[in-house]
Amino acid sequence: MLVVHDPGDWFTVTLAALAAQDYPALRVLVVDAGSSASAGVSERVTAAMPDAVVHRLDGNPGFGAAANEVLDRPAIAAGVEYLLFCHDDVAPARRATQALVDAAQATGAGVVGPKLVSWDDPRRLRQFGCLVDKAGVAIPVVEPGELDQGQHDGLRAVCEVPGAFTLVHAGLFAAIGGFDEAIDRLGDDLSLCWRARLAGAPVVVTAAARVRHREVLAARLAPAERERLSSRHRLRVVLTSYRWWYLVRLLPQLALWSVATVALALVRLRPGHARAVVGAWWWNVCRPRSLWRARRHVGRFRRTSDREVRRLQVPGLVHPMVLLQRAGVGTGTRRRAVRDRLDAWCAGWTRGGAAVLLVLAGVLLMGSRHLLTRGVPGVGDFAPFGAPRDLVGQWFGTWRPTGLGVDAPAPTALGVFGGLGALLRGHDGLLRLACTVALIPVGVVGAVRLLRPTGSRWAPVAAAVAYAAVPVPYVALADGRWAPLAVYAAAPFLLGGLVRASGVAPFGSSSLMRDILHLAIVGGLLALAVPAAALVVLFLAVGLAVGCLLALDLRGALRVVLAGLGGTVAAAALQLPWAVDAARSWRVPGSWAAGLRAPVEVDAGGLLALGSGAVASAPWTWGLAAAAAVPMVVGRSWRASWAVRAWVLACGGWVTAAAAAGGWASGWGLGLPDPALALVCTGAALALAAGIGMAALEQDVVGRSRRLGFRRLVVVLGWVGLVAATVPVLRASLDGYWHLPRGDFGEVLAFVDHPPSGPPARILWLGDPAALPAPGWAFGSGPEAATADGATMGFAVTDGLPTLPARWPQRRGPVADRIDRAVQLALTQQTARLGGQLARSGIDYVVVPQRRAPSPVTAPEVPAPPGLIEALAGQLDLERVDVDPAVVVYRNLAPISACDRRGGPCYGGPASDRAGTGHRLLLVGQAVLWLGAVAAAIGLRRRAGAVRLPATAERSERAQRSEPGPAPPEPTLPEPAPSEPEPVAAGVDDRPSGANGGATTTRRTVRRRRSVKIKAKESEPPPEVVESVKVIR
Amino acid sequence: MSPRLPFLVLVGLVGGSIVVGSAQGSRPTLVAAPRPVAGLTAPAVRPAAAGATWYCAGGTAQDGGLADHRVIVANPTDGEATGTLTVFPGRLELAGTTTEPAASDRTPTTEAFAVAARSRATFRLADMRSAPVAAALVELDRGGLAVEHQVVGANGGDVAPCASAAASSWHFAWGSTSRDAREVLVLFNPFASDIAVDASFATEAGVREPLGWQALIVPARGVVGIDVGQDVTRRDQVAATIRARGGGRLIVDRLQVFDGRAGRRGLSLSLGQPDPTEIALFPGGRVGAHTGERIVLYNPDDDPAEVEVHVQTPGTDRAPVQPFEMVVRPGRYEVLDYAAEDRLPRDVDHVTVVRSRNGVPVVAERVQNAGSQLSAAPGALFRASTWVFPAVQADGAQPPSFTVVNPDADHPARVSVDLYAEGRRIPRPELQQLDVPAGGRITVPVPMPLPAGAGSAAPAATAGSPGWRGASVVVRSDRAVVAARDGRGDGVVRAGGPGIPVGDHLDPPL
Repeated sequence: MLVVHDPGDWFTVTLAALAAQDYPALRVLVVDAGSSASAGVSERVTAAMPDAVVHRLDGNPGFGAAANEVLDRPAIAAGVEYLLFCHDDVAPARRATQALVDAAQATGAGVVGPKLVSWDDPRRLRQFGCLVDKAGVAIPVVEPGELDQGQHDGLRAVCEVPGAFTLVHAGLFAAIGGFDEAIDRLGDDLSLCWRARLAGAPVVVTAAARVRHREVLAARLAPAERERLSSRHRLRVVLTSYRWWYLVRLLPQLALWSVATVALALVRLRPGHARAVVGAWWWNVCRPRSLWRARRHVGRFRRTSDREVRRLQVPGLVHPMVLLQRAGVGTGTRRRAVRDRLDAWCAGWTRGGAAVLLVLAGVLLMGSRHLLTRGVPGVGDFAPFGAPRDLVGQWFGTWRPTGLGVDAPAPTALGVFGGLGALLRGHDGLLRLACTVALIPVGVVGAVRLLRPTGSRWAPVAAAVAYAAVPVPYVALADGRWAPLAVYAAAPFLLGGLVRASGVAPFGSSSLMRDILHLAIVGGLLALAVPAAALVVLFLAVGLAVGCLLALDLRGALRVVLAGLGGTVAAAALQLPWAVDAARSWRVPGSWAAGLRAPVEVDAGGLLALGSGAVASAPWTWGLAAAAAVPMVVGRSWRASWAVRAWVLACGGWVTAAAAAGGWASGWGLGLPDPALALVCTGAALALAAGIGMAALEQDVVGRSRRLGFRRLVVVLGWVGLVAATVPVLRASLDGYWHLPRGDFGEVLAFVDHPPSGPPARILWLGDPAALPAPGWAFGSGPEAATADGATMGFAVTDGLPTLPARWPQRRGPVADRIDRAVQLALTQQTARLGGQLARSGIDYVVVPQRRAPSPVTAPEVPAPPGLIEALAGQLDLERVDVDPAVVVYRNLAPISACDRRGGPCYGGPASDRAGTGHRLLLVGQAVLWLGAVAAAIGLRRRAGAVRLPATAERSERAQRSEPGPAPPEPTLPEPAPSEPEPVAAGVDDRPSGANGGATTTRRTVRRRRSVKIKAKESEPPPEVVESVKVIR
Repeated sequence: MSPRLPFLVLVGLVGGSIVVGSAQGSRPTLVAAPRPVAGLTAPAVRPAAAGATWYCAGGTAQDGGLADHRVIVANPTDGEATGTLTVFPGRLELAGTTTEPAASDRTPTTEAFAVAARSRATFRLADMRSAPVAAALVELDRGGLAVEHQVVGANGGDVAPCASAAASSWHFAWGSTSRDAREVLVLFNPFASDIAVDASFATEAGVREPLGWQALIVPARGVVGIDVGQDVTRRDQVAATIRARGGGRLIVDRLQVFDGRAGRRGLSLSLGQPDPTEIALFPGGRVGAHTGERIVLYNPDDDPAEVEVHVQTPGTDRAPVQPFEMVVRPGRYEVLDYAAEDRLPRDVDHVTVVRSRNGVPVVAERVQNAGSQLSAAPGALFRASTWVFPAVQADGAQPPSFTVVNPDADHPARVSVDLYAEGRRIPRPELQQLDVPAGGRITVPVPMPLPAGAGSAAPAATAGSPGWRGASVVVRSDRAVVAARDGRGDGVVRAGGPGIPVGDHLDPPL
């Protein structure tokens, strides 16, 4: 069946090739689809094949409709067994037709395709069948232009065969009604093959049939037109082929992806692509009757379920990966590596696990929806970042005009965020979003990665759910506290580095140096936000080391301590100017250890609930501990020992949090970290234990007994606990803000930030430390402090509304002491001229926040300490400015001298040039250290990749040595699917075969089994003797 | 060995330590806040303070004014003190007429001064500004000094402490707008913002909130004196509450004048009470043929107050007087007239204690009359070991006397009374080491005028007050006591009001 439309000179070659076919019973029907007379189709056919029948159509209805002419021919009824549909731009080899028929008869395939090679260079492959994903996106088995060295030879079951030279069983063709005539060009082959599969007929390609293909259609259609046609026809195939139930599940995914594709196309300035995607939906929506008829028709011949069809398809949606490739993410080997990674990543999930993670992502997305769409209010630490130039300038200099002025190296974060802000062209909100809300999913991803080496496909899921249920980040978000959020994001990665450094199965690493570098880089990144990051690394290391000791693993403890110390020192070194300054002065402020802001108060009940507040609601959150207790009870072998390590770390976090909350160490003058930071570490440890519990369930409980014994009961209780722990998070997600106030004081206090003239006014913030928008200082240098009876009060100074530089605590200097004394005098009624005293420090306004956000935003009350408002109201030189009930503002009426103004001689100023030079040298050293650390990490990672298999073997061997029991599963080798796939048809074996054989399952075979790319099989027998086809799943 | 066993041991140790640690110590204050001095909205002297501010609201600053206003700054310490006195002129609304100061006298004027050790300085405001009503703001560079103000008019004179802090509400239990009386409330706003105040008055006819007293604006750095009788006409008993809106603060004094048309005469100056209290103590008092005494209780709260009024006669053999039990309705007042109560002994010195039984605080004021003379004063709200009386007259026919009550029922107190004038501490041996029995009281007469040679040269700071001679009196005790002027004084009617307590932290009198 040769369909012809205005063929060119090459048509003579096509006719000659067809005439030369050695298939004895070949009869040729040529359908001239409206070719012009000048083409001379009839004459040229008659000249080459006198027996061929030429049927001329008045117009060109498209390939499918033209090919369907055969249905009206009496030859069908005359017992023709196979139909061969042929384009007018192909040149089949002499044995091609026979090879197709042989393949069809050998496999019982309904549709058989050839190996298409280049017209001009037959050594180059053009097509050899395609796989498709559930959206009908085709993934070619071979790379177009790939050198044909026989690497793909053989029979293969595919989802789609190229339509240029396709053999179809005549009965099947009649049964499925031929081609879908609604598809004129592009997509007809996909439709045919899909429907053949639904009718129960296999679709295969055979390399024995070799056909040169000129691909004229590509020249006849513009790329945009091709994209438009293929998109809408692909969607039609999907809409007409799936059953309703499957379609209901699939359509939202397709719609979502279409929206994302359109958005991305618009961002990339490719409106044609966006138009094609939208047009595909529109074209199909406008043809409901046609779709309905097509679906009814499919229903009549359907013999195979959608599930069976899907088994041969690529899992998931491949389009995102294709899009990444098209976007230029990786080329050549790197692209392949990216794809391989994606494949390996996908192989590590079960369908249920992926669903749980999707739901989890949905919950996090829903809980953050308003923050994502409306931005993060500037509450607490989440204040605007400020101008990038100022940030970089402050980082580069030794003098920061923040608050009362800081003559010390600036935090590295100023330089980093200043640079990022410049790259984002001042889109401050996006950066704040990434540094706040995005930290929660980062932490959850870290929890997933933490448990991947266990080999269990459910352990990472359990760890992710458990870690997502830890309430600390949500409480921190609601309070506007950055430090716990940052530690939450980093803790699983830090813990991952430490557990790998332990060298104990299944986490063991081959390179301690690599783990130290990992810890240093993660710790260094964490230190951008939390000065106490190095302490977090050390704390985790010590806790884990104690756990190793209790697990009778001295070597692991030593390695962990070594890694922790190394990581701590290196992380501190990555903050070079800062660290040098701290070491030089040895006066690290207590608030450094406590994080950015004053610690939250956590009562004893809140410790077990990992926090206090709406999200940390006992007893729901106690379920985390129940889930984490499972491996302690039911675990064996490495599950039990790692559960002990995790629990020791968790207990360490609890004890530290209790000590910090109770001020146990204050007697020795030690400033313990914010309890929330320790509770984050506890949460990470519990998530680790919960994940291990899932591995223990799979390996120590399932299959050992069928009765409902104690161990199963514990597992059930753990499950219930884990589910219960998520309830507060689910409840909090309904808010859309994670209980963060929905507004800030930016507009209310704009008049102090942008006065009519001059720089921003200097503000003295007074009140509860939790209400202060910047870390400040404690009152209490005088004897009056001792009389405090539970009331807490602090003060901070900012120039205008606080921005990023104000987030880091400043050293307390004489000016702060002066302010402290002045306010104390006012509080104790020893002065009625507070304004005059504050004027000596350049204070323009005194602000007392009493709520976290202005009216009418719902926000928690933070009442001012008793007597403060009254004391301010009793000052003769302060004038109250009524702006909002949530904040009390007083304007200082006392004159401020030019000396005390910002920039004045009394204000302070930068250090000497000599100090500035030293500082810049330190900055250069810091940059070198960062580059060196990253480069070394990459280098070690590549080396690790190069020796991956031996290392894996070594680990397995080590695991075997260390544990007499059942060997742990190979971390990166997912187990094969539990059930064997059913044969596609008689004589077709869909087990992994070829050079890998069906018995040996290695990582490579797994990857290849999942891959859309089929590698060469050097030892594969010639295609002539192949009796089975490889089914690619 | 299973790793679980050592872990469980560790968990036990850790859990035990947490429990023990939690039980032993409470969480310390992370950020300590200096505690404001609670309750010191009533006048008090902070001896170790770095500075002090005093507000003297009521009085006139014109010749022939209703109540010529003088400010007395007493420095009983051993060091010189400096400060500034700012006079705020204001308008006076009296008998339907509003009088404004002259254009040249409308702005406040400030004068620096120094008070030598053991001296006092007196300032007559009319010498600095001429205004129908004038208030004074005294700012001192150190603590330990006490400030009172005195008014003198055609119908008498009175002295009262200045306020040591502003407040947002002020209460007066007593007042009168009867035909022979004039009650003027002086509202002083020394701050930078205008204040809107609301006032309510409780009379025998009920509670009144006159329109003119709602959202009444007291200008920033301004004084307003308003005759209550303009709106609350012809009432024998008027209790008042003045509240500032929006957290504003001010100082309110009451000038009460009786012109003698109905047989009563006198000029009373009283500072309002910022907060009602549960306990008030009136040290001295006597009911006789020519002296009368009334206790006025005012409840500005929203709940009824159940109050007991105990009248004690320490130092006598008389049986205890049965307490008077009274219920003061919200927003109302009750008057207990001792002259009408038979259970009270006549011509016997007594001490009155007002105590709320149900915790609802009240404002208590005592009104005394001797013949036609009539005055009023609040009770003592604190006990202290030192009391200062800055303005003690030296020109009376009868020496002024002071009553000291020892509220401690178990231990006696030893009291010394010192006079300070013109840079000297004037020795009075007979006033040293006086014993006050436990739960008892003594009356100490202080001979006046000053003995010759006590101070021949007047300090420079007193140059503004020619002719005004006198001394400051300081009462010291080894225990916390309550000291007050004796109202039965020297012929010039004075209320037996308490002095100014000295201390950083003061306790209630009982």
